[in-house]
Amino acid sequence: MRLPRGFAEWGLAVGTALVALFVALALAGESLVGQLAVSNVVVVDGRVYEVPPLLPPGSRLTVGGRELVFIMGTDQLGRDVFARVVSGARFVLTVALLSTAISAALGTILGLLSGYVGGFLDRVLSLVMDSMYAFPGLILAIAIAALLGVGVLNISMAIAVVYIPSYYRMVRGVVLSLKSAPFVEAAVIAGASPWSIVTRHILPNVVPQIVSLLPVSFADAIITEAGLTFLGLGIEPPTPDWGFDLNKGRQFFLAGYWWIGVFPGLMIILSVLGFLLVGESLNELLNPRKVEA
Amino acid sequence: MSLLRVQDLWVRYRTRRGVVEALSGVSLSVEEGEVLGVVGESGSGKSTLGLAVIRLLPRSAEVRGSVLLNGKDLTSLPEEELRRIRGREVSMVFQDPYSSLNPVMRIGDHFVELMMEHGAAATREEALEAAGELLERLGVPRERLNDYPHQLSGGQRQRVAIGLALILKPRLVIADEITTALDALVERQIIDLVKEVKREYRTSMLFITHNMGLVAEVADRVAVLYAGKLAELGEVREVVSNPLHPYTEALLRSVPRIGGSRELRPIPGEPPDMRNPPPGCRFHPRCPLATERCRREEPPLVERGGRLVACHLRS
Amino acid sequence: MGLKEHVLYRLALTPLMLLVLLTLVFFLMRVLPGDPITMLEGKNIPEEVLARRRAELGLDKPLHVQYVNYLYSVFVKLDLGVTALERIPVSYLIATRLPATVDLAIAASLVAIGIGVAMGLLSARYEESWFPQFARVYSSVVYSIPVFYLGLLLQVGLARPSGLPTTGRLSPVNMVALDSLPVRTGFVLIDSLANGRLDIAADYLVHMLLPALTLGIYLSGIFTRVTYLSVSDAMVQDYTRAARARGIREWRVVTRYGFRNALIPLLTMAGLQVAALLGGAVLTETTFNWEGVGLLVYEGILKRDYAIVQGAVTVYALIVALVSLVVDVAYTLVDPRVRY
Ligand SMILES: Nc1ncnc2c1ncn2[C@@H]1O[C@H](COP(=O)(O)OP(=O)(O)OP(=O)(O)O)[C@@H](O)[C@H]1O
Ligand code: SF4
Ligand SMILES: [Mg+2]
Repeated sequence: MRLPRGFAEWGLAVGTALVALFVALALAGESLVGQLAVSNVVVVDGRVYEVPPLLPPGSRLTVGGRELVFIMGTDQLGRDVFARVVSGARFVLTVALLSTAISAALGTILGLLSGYVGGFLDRVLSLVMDSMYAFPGLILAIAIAALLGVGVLNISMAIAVVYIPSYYRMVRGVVLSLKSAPFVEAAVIAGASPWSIVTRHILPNVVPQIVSLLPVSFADAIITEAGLTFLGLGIEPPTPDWGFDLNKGRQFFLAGYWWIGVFPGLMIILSVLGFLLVGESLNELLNPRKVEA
Repeated sequence: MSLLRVQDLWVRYRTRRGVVEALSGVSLSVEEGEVLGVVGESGSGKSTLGLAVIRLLPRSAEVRGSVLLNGKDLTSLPEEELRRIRGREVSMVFQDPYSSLNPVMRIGDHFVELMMEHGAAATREEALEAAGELLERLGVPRERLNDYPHQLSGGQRQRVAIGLALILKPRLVIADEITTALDALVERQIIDLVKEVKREYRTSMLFITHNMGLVAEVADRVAVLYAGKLAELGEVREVVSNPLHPYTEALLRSVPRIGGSRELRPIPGEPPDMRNPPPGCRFHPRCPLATERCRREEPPLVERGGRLVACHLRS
Repeated sequence: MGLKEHVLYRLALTPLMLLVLLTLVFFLMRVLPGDPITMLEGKNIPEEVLARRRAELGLDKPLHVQYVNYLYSVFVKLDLGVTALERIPVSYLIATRLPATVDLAIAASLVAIGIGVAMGLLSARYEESWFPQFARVYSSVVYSIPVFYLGLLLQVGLARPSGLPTTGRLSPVNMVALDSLPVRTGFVLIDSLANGRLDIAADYLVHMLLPALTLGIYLSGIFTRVTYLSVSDAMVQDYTRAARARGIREWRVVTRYGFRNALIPLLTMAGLQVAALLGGAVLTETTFNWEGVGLLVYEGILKRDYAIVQGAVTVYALIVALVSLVVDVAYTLVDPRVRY
């Protein structure tokens, strides 16, 4: 990309800030906002108060002498939108982390195997992976998520399946290009075992490539997660989740209660953007394209 | 009036790792019908000079000085006016024929586009007719007009590039190392072609090369560039038979000469880092004749018997 | 290999790919818990009813028998089966839904390519201005917006104030009118125009506006990025500099040298985006209640209707294969160096 170096650095700074914010929310968000994220009931001095639904942003409510402020309003069930938005980070990021880890691990193992062993195994694996790669990933994920049912691990696996081929293809490519590299051939001649060749000579060259793929992969996982939960898959109420909240609050959102939809949506965008910017800017800074015109 | 007059030309590239001064106050001229050779090692600023004349330097380049073509200063011309001059009054042939033609355009379309853009042909057919005729004179069968660049050999592509540079009959052609990417046999053919073009068309040329031998063959006068400065400038025959500058002499020794019996010797040392050129005479770290003065004082360019030379030994 | 052999070779690969995908889906759907009958009737229907219904659908047979039967009917009988509950032929269902998805996909592609190519070219042409930076921010942001969210925003922000329809493909009146037209292909635009019903065609386009914009904008980010990158790549090539040295006009350099050469990577990218397009279509169709294959497959998945899902997968796989074939052939048009 022929842009000033400053631009990539700028993107990296913004991206890192966003990522840091979301990681912080995922870690601490829930304890910060407490019960309001999952219920509309406030208990003050042993007395129970119900928060009314669909309060607009900025609404104040005095319960038992305590003033509550709903800066993002309340949703159709009277839950605090701000609290849900803040604590929604945890589920998404956990899923993104898990699914990326699963697909990177499986893709790498299969890619190493395929590239190193070659022959029939390579052909079959490549056919399977290429078929999956060409097929619309979201549809595959929807099918798997619907079949596996709700749960962090289930939805993570559904997303992971979609991205295994990306890692597989990349790793296999690296292995193939390295297999005939002089230092690998030297190791073979010197009688090194396949295991040590793969772990000592090939893996170290694969890892940086995998790492450079991770941030964008993370962004993709978040957006896929949002798609699945928007379709009502993989998650159970009342777990706070941005995509799921958009699903449940859709009618109200369309009816004009904009705060129910706008805020969770913004959170999805910002978190995806954060990882995307980090990934792209890093790639740009690490492998700058020639600028000569 | 000279056809081309370059006056006190300075070019600096701003890069991430500092400023490169590629040309430091170069002045030279090309007369009507004359071939001026420009020689120097890699990095001496030859391409920069050629690109500066036709004003195609990258945006990272900062240019000072003037380039007068027919008395018109190209450095201050509006973009659109300059565009109409390019191709029609001054054109350029580049080093690598494998990448200088548009891979998705037929050879013929290169000519059609060029001629129509400059209003030199009213119809496609007219343009193709003229192109075919020229190509045949340059040794490329007319049928090649229908081919794509990748279907031609390197030599044929360079002939096509030469054809594109000539078809509008410009008064000046800049040829930047046009044989460097070719093998020896094809290089010979292209050089013969250049000589023929010179004879037939009387086109003025800025003939850029790192090969003194080629200059001796095709040029009338030669400008020797070292580290962005003129080392010597004069009639080819005189420069070759009696170089005044130690660098010119070293250059001559580094190329095989027709009928020459001197032993071949590469120039010792490396060209300087242009971000930080040596003080005094830029050649002094490599010059066998360097003195204390050379390290401190920059030699001025002075006239010696109809020649220009920048060396303390000659002043 | 000539072009013809290449095309045949690619065609031969398609069934293999289809086999892989169908096998994957088949085993996923059978191995994982839940089946269409319990999904519909609840978990506590009488044992013998369950057994009878399962037998009707052939679900009582051993897995490998089901698998072979299934492949036999798809590959040999070219039969996609019937839906679990209403016993409607899946091929009929898909045939009625496919035109809607095809229309949406084409319209969205036009939007995406239009925006992407325009922004990419402008970025390459006005490299020194603020525009490339803007285009870059645009493409990153657009890439980060979930399709359904974009759809909802457009519904709230555009449709509500302007009175544009937010869901469905036609107004109810026209839906009925369409059914009674003599000439029917399933493609609303073709049918309404062939029968001289301009009003229906207009109604359809109005309904399609938001879904097509949604899906198109979603995909335009990547088109912007790739156009700009590949055009500016071509713009630093020697042939571009040579063209400028010949005094070729700058716009022409950008289009005939920059863009024309960028078509090659763009084509590759467009081929790869088909998967994103079809996936995005599912979400778009759900958001706008646009009755295409995407909505069908989503409903099929929820109902555990194996036949619908497998049928849709087959159709998707065929579309993907077809597109990659078209892309292959298009290479020979775009890049004279390509010969198969
Ligand atoms: N676009 C650029 N950006 C930065 N520095 C450049 C650029 N182009 C050339 N230079 C530097 O300017 C100096 C002169 O380069 P130039 O290409 O003019 O040399 P040359 O004599 O043509 O060499 P060669 O024989 O290798 O073609 C070199 O030090 C080179 O590294
Ligand atoms: S000035 Fe000195 S160093 Fe430079 S060329 Fe002449 S003798 Fe050599
Ligand atoms: Mg050069």
